[in-house]
Amino acid sequence: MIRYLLRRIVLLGGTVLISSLIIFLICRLLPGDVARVLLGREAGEAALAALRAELGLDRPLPLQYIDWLRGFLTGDWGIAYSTRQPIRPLVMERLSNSLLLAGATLALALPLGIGLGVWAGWRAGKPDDTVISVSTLAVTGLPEFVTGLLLIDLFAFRLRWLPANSSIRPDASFFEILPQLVLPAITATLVLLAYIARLTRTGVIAEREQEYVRTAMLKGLSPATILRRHVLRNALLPAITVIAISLGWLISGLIVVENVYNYPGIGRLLTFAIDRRDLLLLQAVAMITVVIFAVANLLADLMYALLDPRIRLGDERSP
Amino acid sequence: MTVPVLAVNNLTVAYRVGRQMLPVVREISLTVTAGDVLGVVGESGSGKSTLGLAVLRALPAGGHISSGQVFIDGTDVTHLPTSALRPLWARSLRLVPQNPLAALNPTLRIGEQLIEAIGGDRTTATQQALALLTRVQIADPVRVMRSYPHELSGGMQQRVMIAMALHGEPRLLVLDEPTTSLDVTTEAAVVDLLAELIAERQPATLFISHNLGLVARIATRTAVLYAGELVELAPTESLFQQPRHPYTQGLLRSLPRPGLRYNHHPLQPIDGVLPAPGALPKGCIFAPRCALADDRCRNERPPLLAVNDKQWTRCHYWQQVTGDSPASSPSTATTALNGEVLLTTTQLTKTIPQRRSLTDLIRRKPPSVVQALTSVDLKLRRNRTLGIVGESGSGKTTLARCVIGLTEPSSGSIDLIDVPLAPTIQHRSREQLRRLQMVLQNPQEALNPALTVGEALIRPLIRLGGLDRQRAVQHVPELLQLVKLPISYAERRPAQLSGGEKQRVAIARALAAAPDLLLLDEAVSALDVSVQAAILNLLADVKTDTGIAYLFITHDLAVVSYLADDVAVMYRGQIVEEGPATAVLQPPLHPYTEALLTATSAHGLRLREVEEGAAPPQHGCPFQPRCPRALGDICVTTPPPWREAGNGHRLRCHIPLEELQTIQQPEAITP
Repeated sequence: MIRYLLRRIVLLGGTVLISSLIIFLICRLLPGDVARVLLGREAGEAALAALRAELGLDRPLPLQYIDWLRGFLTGDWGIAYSTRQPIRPLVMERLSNSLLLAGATLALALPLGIGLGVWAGWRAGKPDDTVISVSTLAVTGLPEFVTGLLLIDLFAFRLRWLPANSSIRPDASFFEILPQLVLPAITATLVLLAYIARLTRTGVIAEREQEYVRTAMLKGLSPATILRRHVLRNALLPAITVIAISLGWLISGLIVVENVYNYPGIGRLLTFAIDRRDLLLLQAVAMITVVIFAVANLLADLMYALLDPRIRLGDERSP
Repeated sequence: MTVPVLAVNNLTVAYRVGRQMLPVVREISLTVTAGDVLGVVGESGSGKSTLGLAVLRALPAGGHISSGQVFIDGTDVTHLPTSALRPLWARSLRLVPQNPLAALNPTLRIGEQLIEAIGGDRTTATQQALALLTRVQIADPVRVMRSYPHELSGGMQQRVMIAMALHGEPRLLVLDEPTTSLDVTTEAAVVDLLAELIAERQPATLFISHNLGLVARIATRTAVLYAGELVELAPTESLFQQPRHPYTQGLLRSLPRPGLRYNHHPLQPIDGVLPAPGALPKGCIFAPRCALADDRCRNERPPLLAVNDKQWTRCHYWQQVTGDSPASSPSTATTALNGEVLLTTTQLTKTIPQRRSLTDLIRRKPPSVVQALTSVDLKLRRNRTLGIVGESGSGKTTLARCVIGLTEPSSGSIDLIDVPLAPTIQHRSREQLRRLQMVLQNPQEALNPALTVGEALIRPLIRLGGLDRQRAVQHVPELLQLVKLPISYAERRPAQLSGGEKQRVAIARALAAAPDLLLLDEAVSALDVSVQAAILNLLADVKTDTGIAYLFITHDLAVVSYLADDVAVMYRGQIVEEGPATAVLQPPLHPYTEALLTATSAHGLRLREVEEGAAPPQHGCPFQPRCPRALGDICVTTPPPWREAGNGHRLRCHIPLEELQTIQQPEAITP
């Protein structure tokens, strides 16, 4: 187990390292001249060259990469060109906002998605299964900006229950933030719902047909016990991986949702950085995203191993 | 008169396939009283497992009882709702299925699953579970309770399922191929246990099996199913001695038994194939395959007729079904004793290093190895069949993989006609590939479903046989005739063939480029007994016609004693006994050979059980931990010597030959 963990952590480091190289190269290949963007169209060649020298953009690419990577690893992420703010506190603040939204979304989407999936799977082929499957697919089919705007129209403008704008203040307390989280979380949930529900449904249907479920039935157990003790645990195992991947998406992929609600998360920071050609900021956001995806996947694999006794990680007695 | 525990009255069970309801069990009636064991035999597609699940009211989704009734202790349970069945299941209806690993929840510990079945107070249930595990001869019940299913051997898993089926007071026990997934020696021990427990607890038992030998051992009466119908029901002894249905007789004549040999007393397979469900013939369902059938049989469905007060048969002409087998035509096959040596393995050894744990790495402990093959010397001559037998883990498949070039041996050499073969298939010449071909166990997986039979046969003809495409196409009919398939089959795809036909195609493909040697790895093990008989006879005929040699790898001693000219018995990667088949098997001398050969007999030699995954002994005889005849220290400390028994027959054992010859239990070596 320890050996497996060490190996996975080394692999994770490798993944992040290779990603950092790709991120760096792509950022340098993006069209547009940073100095030109910062100084405007009227700036003279001398001023542009001076700025490039100040930003280190005139140095050889390998050197730039090594300097940037060393800075990133030691915590010196540099200053954003566009806002003249230090990058690290900015990214960290947005990251904590994103984690909050991801947490709220999972708190909604997991019980709902798994619940609906189990119900549909247990009653596969019956009318309620069809209703659940079709309706979850339908809401997932709608793009986030459509569901987001509909929700705002209903809950913020007509019913006036919840705020339409979720641009939370940095000094706000948790209870002040909570109402602002509800609508973005619902919107993100609607995107994930059909995914989680269908996956769970498939798992439940597959496990229901397993012979050990027949064994359980012949023990005279009630359907509720069979579902809880025998079907669920095995049916939900495959869902873990998917949930881990959706965690990565929730943190850095909610670009549309964050824009609709003006929510200050990582996703909006990413669009902002692209918009302003802020290469250093863009690189930092991309790196954080990579790290989150990699860690989420590692956690998923570990959880899988803990829940499934058949997987013995790094076991030397492998057949 | 006592009420039978199980009474089945005119039961028909159908499966929904698309929009059709296909009957898989038709109008079956039978009764089983407490303590009685009814054997249910039939080939795949006979409906025997469906019958077993239907009487438990545990049919899978899509299966329905469409007519007839099932009575348990006089109560009609045919249409009981699940809620009413639940207490019945918990209390008195029990199932031991074929595959215990699938029947146990992979993520729950054995103890949890047993306690849950027993129910009630947890402490009492735990005590009972431990007692049950002890009762099914599990040596370390506390450890097994804490284990997950996959941590136990197949035999242990099945013992757990038996323990689960025996708590409380079982009334009806359905054993659905309970030992089919086990090794023959484990099977023997589990069947002994089942026989003992049934005698002790007296449930009414349905013993469902394709294995006629096992049924003969354990069942008091036997029901023969064919295409969903009960064709014969009789006391087991009468059924085997005087079958009164042509199908039963055909099954028995297809069964390899001691005394039958391919070159004198060949098997007599049943012609034709099983009718598809939904396309059953109008009259007697067996008529299309029956030698006795006439117009009456083809038009009028026979009722179940009483032969006497205990034996029933569904045949108009049962009086004509007699025990005399038709005059067997001894084949003219001759086996040259001194033909050219085709294949030689010399000191063939394969070790598989195990992965080390981190702590072992730090301690610089050398990696432990598994000896898959240890110094295997074999010789196979032209026109001979060399049978390799042993349990799973004996190294027979590793041997096959080394010979064919899929596994690289660690040391030793393989020569094909005095030319050393490269260790891997990539480095062998096309001519060597042509000379050495292979047939696998499962034709389903070995044939490309996208290719027609003709295309599958043309490829080796071109690639290995060196024919151009046109000549290859012309050669296909000849190949199909060789394996006794209609020439029109060239246009078919594998999905349109039965299992036996697919295996014929696989054999034809292997024979296409006229190899000198065919390696058959469990090539008949997945087939039904009547199909198996036909393939065995086919192999014998091909050998007579072409002078080919077979390396025949199997766990089935009956098949080997029928087909093989020479036999090598393997245990844990070593040959423990080898020689001419008749000498090695009649009677068996080595205790391991004896145990394999007498496994189906109630009085056979039983092996001692060892811990799953236990390391083999470092010194002495590898078989000693399981040997019931071990002498003591000498077996533990010294590797046994080869003892020559004459005529090339030799074995590795410390017990002197004369003694081995006298401690035989000859009465056990009958079917």
